[in-house]
Amino acid sequence: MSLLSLTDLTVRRGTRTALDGVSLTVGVGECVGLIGPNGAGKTTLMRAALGLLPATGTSTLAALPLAERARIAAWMPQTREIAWPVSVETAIALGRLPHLPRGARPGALDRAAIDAAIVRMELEDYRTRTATRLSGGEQARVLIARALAQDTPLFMADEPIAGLDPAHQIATMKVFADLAREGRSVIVSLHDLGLAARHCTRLVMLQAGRLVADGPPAEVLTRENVERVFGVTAYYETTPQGPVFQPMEVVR
Amino acid sequence: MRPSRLISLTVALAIAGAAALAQPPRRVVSVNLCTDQLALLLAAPGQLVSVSRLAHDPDSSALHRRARAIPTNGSGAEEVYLLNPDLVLAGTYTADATVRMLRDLGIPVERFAPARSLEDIPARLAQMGRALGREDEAARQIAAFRAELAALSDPPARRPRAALYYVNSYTLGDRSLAGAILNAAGFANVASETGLTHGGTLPLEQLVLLAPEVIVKGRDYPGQARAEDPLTHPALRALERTRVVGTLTDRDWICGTPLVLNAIRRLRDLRLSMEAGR
Amino acid sequence: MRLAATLVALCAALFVLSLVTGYASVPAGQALKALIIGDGTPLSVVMREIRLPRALLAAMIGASLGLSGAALQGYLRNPLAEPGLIGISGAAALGAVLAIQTGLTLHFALALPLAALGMAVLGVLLILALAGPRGGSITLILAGIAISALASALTSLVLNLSPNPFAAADIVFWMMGSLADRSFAHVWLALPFMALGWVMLARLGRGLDALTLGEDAAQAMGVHLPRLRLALVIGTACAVGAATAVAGAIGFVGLVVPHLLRPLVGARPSALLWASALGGAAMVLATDIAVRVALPDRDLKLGVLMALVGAPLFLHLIYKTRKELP
Repeated sequence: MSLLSLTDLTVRRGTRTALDGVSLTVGVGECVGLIGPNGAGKTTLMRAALGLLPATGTSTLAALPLAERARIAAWMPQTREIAWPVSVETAIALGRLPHLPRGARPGALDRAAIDAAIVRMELEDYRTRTATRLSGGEQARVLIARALAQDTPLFMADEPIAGLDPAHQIATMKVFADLAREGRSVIVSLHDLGLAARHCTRLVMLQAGRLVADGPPAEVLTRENVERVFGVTAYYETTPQGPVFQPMEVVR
Repeated sequence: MRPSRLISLTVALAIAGAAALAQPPRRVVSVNLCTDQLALLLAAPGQLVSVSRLAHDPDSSALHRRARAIPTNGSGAEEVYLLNPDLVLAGTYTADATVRMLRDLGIPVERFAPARSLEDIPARLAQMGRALGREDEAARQIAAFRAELAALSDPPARRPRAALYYVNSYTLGDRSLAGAILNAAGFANVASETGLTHGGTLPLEQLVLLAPEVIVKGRDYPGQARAEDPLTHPALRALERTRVVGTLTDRDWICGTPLVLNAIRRLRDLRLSMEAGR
Repeated sequence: MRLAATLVALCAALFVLSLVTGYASVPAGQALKALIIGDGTPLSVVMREIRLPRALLAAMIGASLGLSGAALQGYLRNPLAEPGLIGISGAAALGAVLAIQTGLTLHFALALPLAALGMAVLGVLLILALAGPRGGSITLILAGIAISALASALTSLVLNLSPNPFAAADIVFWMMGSLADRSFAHVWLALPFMALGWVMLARLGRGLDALTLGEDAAQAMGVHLPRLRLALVIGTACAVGAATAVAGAIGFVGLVVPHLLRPLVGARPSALLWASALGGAAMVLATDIAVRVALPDRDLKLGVLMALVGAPLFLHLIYKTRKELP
């Protein structure tokens, strides 16, 4: 069963084609890493898939009614915005909105989801702190926890680990991998190809709005692909501790 | 110019002015609504050559029909000077700059204070009579005014309490022409109960609590303004024992001329009809 | 809930205090008795026809302005958004003045709130178009200045062209607002539109909460943004338009009240909506009492006192938010 299926998804911005005929199906248990250089169309792909951008082609997610979509897919945008000085717990609890009927207060199930998200993102000590006074990385973790609290079968995040310290980058990628193992689907865009190679079950490589490679990390992060798409040489090895990927030199 | 020459010029002008006044003026220009009215009442035919613009306004000018025959002016010094008058009639509230400039140009200006009581009316008539050289006519009209006023001022058995109520919640007290009209017609002005003698703001609340038997509203102006809202406030209608008298035309009330007798007569008729209705 | 109880109690106390405050000094007990019994005496007329509608309007207008301020701020995610400051009240006043001066209101009383509402809609749409989805402070304030200036210039022009000699003096009323000598006619004229506005704005809480995390996140949480925007525009225009139509433009309520109450509701936009409605009612009631106590024999305009409190706070907010200004 797949939660997200894109067919020939195309986004035009003026005369430029930001996303060019991408077809893609994400199945249960997959942790998909979306990679590509700046401007390749990663954000556009995810937003169009969610129906947040006008696009041609089809997306099973975008076709859903808003309320239903919100119970199926959680989305953490790249712009990390917390407009008001709410507490960390309040910000995370916003993730339960799609599950609450109008005017209802959070029930036991909601509390459990919020607590689980807080534990997952190691934010127990932050609960009552004011979210807007946290550092950028801490805010990012709060926003990931917010999306986790939405407790959806599909989890989508746009560069969630940018700006996090190494320990939290690894911990967060492990959370995503765990989500996939639990039987959910994850789509996450990122620039750290090393973390992508280690924690994603599948990589989707974009270049100039086109899908250029799609498959297990070892098949996508080939020397030719990395050189052609990113313009770098890289070191890639499968070690006893898992795959190691390290970009080395700029070729262009 | 040397100071001595300036002085001699001023003296010469003053003598010329006095000489001109010895003869009745032949080209008189009025720049104030109330001097318009007084002059229209007293001037010899052809003597008054221009009246203020308001004199033609039927809402403001009690003598607007008579004024129609005479051209109007905008009350500016330049315009008035070009009319070549030998006397200008102005109010004490006419712009000082205008009056000073006209006098500097050698034109005599006679200023009239607004009337604040009925006694001011014969005084203004007499002043205008002197200014126009029409003392006899003035004396005749003063006598007629006094006689008619006396006839209207029979002491009432009971003075009903009344309020004058204008735009912006303004009221007038006993020491105003309107207050004098109200008194002469046999009413007691409630403004004096609040300590207002000349005039001032009477908040709607206070007016309602005073509960006068009659509220005489000022005239209705064209167009609309929020300042007029208190005049139509439902609280005034809710007062059971109060009669609100709408637009008693104001043109007879504005200036101290014998025409205020019309206003007194109308108010007196109202009082008599109230007595009869009891 | 404690906050709600406190605010309700505060509003109730101020409402009673407003009823016993007036130009004519009457013992409070006697005044309230005259209000309840209504025996046709002059005092009961004062209580029922002058003071009661005045207190009701103060509460209604305060609630409308507080609620609109909180909603606008929630939507634009900017604490400087306030119906008066960004020109919505000014636009509504222009609508009201046009309806009065064209004589439309003489034939059709509802023309007054409707015209104010119409111009308010125009004002909100202009602000939203100019300030963009995430109302940045600079654009918001500049757009507000422009709309206010245009609206007040046109209002002055219309009033100056009026044949009524007193119309020009009304400019102060329309710019500063006053509740002097309002009647139940004004209550009935404004209430239906305000109530509609309150309902529309009160229902925005959920969407505004979600918007805390930005438009994308809110949409992904199931918030229908175009619908929310429409409800915001119409709700604000109804509430502010009706308030301005009967009492002139009263500024700063929607700025001061949400700012004071935000920390008390944990900064949640949804909780701030009802809190600001109650707080706004309390503030306008208190101010309207103050204008009568401070200068009993003049019609001191509400907006004057409001600006004395609000403008320093506005300056403080600008100072505080200047870091985020580009």
